[in-house]
Amino acid sequence: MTRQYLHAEYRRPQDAIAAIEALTEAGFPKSALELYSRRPVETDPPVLPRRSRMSLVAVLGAITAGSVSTALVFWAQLDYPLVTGGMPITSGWATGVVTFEATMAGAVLGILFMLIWEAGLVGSPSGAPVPDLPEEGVVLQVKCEGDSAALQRPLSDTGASRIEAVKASGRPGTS
Amino acid sequence: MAPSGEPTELSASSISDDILSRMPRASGRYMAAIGFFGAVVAWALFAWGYQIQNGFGNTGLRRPVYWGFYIVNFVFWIGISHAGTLISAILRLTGAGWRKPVTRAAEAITVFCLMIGGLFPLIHIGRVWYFYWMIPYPNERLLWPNFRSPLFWDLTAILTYLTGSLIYLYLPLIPDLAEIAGRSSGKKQRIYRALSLGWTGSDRQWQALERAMKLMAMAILAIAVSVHSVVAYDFSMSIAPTWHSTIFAPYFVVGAIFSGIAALVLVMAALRKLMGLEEYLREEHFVNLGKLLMLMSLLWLYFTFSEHLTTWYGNLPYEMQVFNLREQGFFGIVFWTMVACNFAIPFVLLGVSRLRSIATISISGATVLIGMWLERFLIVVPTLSRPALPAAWGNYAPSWIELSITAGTFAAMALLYLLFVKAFPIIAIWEYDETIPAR
Repeated sequence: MTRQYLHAEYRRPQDAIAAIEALTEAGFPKSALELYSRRPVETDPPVLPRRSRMSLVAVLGAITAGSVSTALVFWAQLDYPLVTGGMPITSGWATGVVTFEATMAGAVLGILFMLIWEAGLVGSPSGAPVPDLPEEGVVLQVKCEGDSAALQRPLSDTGASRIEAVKASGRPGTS
Repeated sequence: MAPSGEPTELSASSISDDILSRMPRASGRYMAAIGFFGAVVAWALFAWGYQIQNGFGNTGLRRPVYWGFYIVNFVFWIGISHAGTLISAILRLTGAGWRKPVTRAAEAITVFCLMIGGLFPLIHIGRVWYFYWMIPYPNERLLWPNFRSPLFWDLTAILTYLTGSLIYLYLPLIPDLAEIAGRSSGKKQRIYRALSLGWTGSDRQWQALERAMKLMAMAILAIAVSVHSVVAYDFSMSIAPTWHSTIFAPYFVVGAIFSGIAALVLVMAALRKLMGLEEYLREEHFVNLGKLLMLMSLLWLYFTFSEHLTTWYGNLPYEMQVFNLREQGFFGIVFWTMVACNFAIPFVLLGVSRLRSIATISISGATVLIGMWLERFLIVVPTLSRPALPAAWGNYAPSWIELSITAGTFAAMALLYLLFVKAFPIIAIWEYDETIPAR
């Protein structure tokens, strides 16, 4: 079966949201839908909800960096025991700041990594064609296997101003 | 266009066009400004080179005052760096809609101030080429840095804050970089396309970006507070008179946010005037920041009073020597000027609603910056001038080297900002989707 994409252009984001709801009610999976816009389309809850592990990875990054830095500091202090003003060679108080900063650095790098991963930046892992965004409005992308003719009706019914069929190779054919 | 003063709805594309058209061109005036600030920075670099070549004896730093203008400037610039990230993060987390035209200007201040402030420890250590000794790496002499030293804490805190702030500035720039790439061609397009990391504007990307910005805002708040606390620890970990104080960390954090807001107000006023951003940076933004400035002024006064009252009431001889020095003679003039700049003038200009305008809020911002620089000077110099042994007392006067480098840092700030607004939109295009008043 040939995979192809439909790009439906809407002047108003609300119409695109209505199209997503119509397609979902008709049993079309949300995982096959994507919305493209120059501004974020914000709805509560998100119209295309996505699972994110960004917070988890941020916490894991924080724990890892904090632990590694604390271990390094303690090991280095034991390896080279420098006496400073009568302080004990190793002390949580004296290394608290280093631990904290490393912990936060780990969290920040974790967030950055997950943004790049989850947003598919630096190369698109999905391989889907990217529509040309109109100056105003949004584009709804529908991934379909085989014949896409049946899908065009709900898209035009919800106010799509232009529908374009694009093969996975990226060659468009306007309808 | 609607009649003047009436609100008009601008479409997304017109807002994009409008904001991008405000980015300065390489006009004669722009190049003259770049040339002027560049010359001041070059002079400061020459002064630094002269100091490296001929030694610290050419500066005003000598026994007992080893920390002079360099550390004053270090604390001052790191303080201002709280403008951006902290203010932007707080406003983002609290969902303050009016923040949208303000945040990028603030975030850029943070990055540039950190770059400038972070230079001062390097200038101050003299033999700058030994800086890498601070970095913990396995070396042939089997030595490690002293992790218990507040100087090392500074290194970790500033590096973490700089990394976080750069990312916090960069992330919301990505959609705008893609927007510029889409509207340009040739080499410029390739550069902006590469910088936008393949941004396509998909819902998946928007959701990830919004999530990342929320998490970054939370992280950066904690980091920002820790950074100025660590700067305060540089002082309070020593047992020098008036420095060994438990409230120094929050006192410094309050002062940092205070000076940060003041810097943001001044930068916004300059951008508004020079780039014609009157429709975006409106009076309400200045008034809101003015209210925050007023609040921080009162908090600053409270901390300053508590700090001085504790010293005065304790009446310890070593501390009273410094206390009295600050209140009398030259330092007395500096002290009362600081109080006037940080409290009296802003209190009148911001407290009386009839007087509150963009001009008076900007004047308050300028006086607060002067006052906060004087505060840092009063923290650093009098304490070192009056060590416990009277025989070791001394004075400090900066030489042309410190004065040149200080002037150079202010010019560097202006220069970096001019270059930034030339290359990037100073207002986040994708965040700005409000109704703006007609021109």
